[in-house]
Amino acid sequence: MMLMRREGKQVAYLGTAFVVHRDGYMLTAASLIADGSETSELVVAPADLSQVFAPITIEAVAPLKVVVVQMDREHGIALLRFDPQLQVEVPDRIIGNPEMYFDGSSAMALGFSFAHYRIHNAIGRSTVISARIQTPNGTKLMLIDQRVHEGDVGGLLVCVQDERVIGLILGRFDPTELRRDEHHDDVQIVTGMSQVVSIEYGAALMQAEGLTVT
Amino acid sequence: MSETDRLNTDELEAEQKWYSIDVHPYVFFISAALIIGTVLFTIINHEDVLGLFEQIQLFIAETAGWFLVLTMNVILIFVLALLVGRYGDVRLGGEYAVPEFTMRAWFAMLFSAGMGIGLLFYGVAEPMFHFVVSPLAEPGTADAARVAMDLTFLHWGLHPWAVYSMVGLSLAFFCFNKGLPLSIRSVFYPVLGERIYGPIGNLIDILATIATLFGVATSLGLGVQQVNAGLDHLFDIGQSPGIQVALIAGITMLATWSVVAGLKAGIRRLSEINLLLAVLLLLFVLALGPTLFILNAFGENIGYYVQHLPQLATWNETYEGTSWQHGWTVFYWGWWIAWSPFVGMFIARVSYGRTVREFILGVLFVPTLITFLWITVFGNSALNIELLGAGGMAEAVQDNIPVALFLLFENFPLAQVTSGLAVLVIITFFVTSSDSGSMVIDIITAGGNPDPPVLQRLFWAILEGVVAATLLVGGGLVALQTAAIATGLPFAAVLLFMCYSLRKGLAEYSGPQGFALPPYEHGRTLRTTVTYPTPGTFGRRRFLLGRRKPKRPAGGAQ
Repeated sequence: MMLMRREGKQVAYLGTAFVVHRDGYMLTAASLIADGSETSELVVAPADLSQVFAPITIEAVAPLKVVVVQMDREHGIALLRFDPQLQVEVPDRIIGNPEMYFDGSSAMALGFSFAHYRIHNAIGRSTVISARIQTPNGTKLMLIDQRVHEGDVGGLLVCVQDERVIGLILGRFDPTELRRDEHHDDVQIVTGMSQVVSIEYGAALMQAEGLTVT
Repeated sequence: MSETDRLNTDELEAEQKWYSIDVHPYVFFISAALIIGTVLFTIINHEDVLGLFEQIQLFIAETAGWFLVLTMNVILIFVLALLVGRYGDVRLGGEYAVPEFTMRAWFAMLFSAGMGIGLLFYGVAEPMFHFVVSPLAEPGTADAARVAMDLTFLHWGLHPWAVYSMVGLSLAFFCFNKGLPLSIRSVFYPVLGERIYGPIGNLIDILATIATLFGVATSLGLGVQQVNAGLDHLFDIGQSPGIQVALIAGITMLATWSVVAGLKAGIRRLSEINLLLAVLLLLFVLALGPTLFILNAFGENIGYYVQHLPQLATWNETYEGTSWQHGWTVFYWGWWIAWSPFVGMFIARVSYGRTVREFILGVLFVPTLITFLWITVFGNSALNIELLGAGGMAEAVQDNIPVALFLLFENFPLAQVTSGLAVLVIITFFVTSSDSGSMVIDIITAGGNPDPPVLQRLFWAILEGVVAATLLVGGGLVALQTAAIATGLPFAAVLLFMCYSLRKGLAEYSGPQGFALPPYEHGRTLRTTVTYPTPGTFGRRRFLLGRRKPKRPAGGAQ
């Protein structure tokens, strides 16, 4: 789903969100809504799937309002829910376990990469899990061999082997961010890699909301 | 000792404390209150309670008998459709699950689930009863004998095993494939979603608990009547509710002792020996009885059953206007339905790694065939004596059903030994049924915890004995039958609902895994605009950071 902020008669794209539960719950990146000022006007809109070759731009959307029900700022994940609540058809098994795979496993990154620029197509890219690391505060991250784009933030990483979601895309990977205490602010290293936070934090948010994680 | 070790030891000690409990508060206490309430009501009104049980049985059988008949047929058709349908390839536990038990061990366990007190109680008695009071043939004739076997096959054949298959399959699928708790409420996840954890789920588990307890208590009641009859036959101790209550107390103590002592391995071995003894009894009667008559009858009985199944299975006494089915077919259907969470959960636990098709083939047909063999060996032996031999059995069985098995043994050598063995087999079935029944109820009332504390299991084991004793004193066989029907009836509605939910769950599991929004009221359409994302690596990733270093001063050295 495209996560957007309503501004009068228009909607401004924020990032990607994806449905994880039949009762209308979605996960997204906390960074997209962390300010709080946007939360009162958060909406989502689905991609246009009416045609196999979908138009690149949806001129106007009929969005659904969402609210933030759980937020994990420490790990960068937020749980949203349709408001009013809506029953959604979802795959039977969604949430995977990133610890079950090995480094080098094939995966697919999915997000609305260029929706900021009004290209409203969900774009999937093949990648591999390059590494699984822990940040200084213990957050479990996966590095993937794929250069994601701004619109992908909040998107999902799916394991090819069992088609389960194993992570949530946070953005590109800059190694100096991990040790900012040792580097100056203006030092940046551009890599072709991106970072994905483990889905277990999303599952924890769902459980905190009283949901069954399947 | 490290901190971790100390914590683990503490946890272990906490788990081992005999008084620890882990219950689902609503399910446990409401179920217990309703069951204890029924017991107290029966004790307080013991003088009038027999008439009341008769009235309840009559009322349910007359007004809702058709519903039980319909439910059983719907479930059988549903299970057969699953067998040949496209969900047959779904593997319990996931695509790569490996069966926990070999095919041989699995069949042995299904066989043990299929054997029970009831089969010993009714194996001889039921064909004899239908032979003498035949609803569809001239009593006492060869035709009546054929119909008697057919009716007995109907009650013990595909229908009950279809119910067990459906309940077992549902529990196994939602537990192994969906990771939900091993509880009846989990089966309704596709329909109720997270509401299974709310009041509706509680109601379902309460119904399952009450049905299971009364189903098991009915079996125990029948079993103890037969033990009493057997002991009377052997040692002339007499038959009375008082003796039966004493026997229940004694055997329940044995069962609770096995629960407390945690004699899992011992009970399992005992159960295996018991099964072996039952098979020996079967072979004994087959070898020393009218072997050729039995072998001829086995094929003919099955053929007759298959031929008349649609007719008999849908028979409701509509045009006869009689009430023969009240004490037989309606009772059996209620009993099997009440018994289904117990057998279903046992079957589910041993069937990990089987495909749906293997599961149904194994659970529906193998125990049915074994049951047919048992009934043919014992029932046809008795019919042979009655039709072609000395006779006298039918009349005796009419007077006293529990004694039927022992009367049959009298016609063979070593009657004292075989009768003694039969009593032993029944007592052991009683102990293992009580043990397993209390375990299943305990799991349900603990919210699906597969290994709940022993104190709770003790509570349910004792309560099963108390309920069986109270019903026996209150109204004997009628009370037991009424309990089975009354608890089976509401659970029948749950089972129909379960069919729908299982089908939906399997369809979702096997079908394309996609997302779809339901049709919804479109509000105002809004225009999309170009926006400007955060530059660089985008996103606020404060969680990544350690201590932030100040910006480099202008013109400073690198």
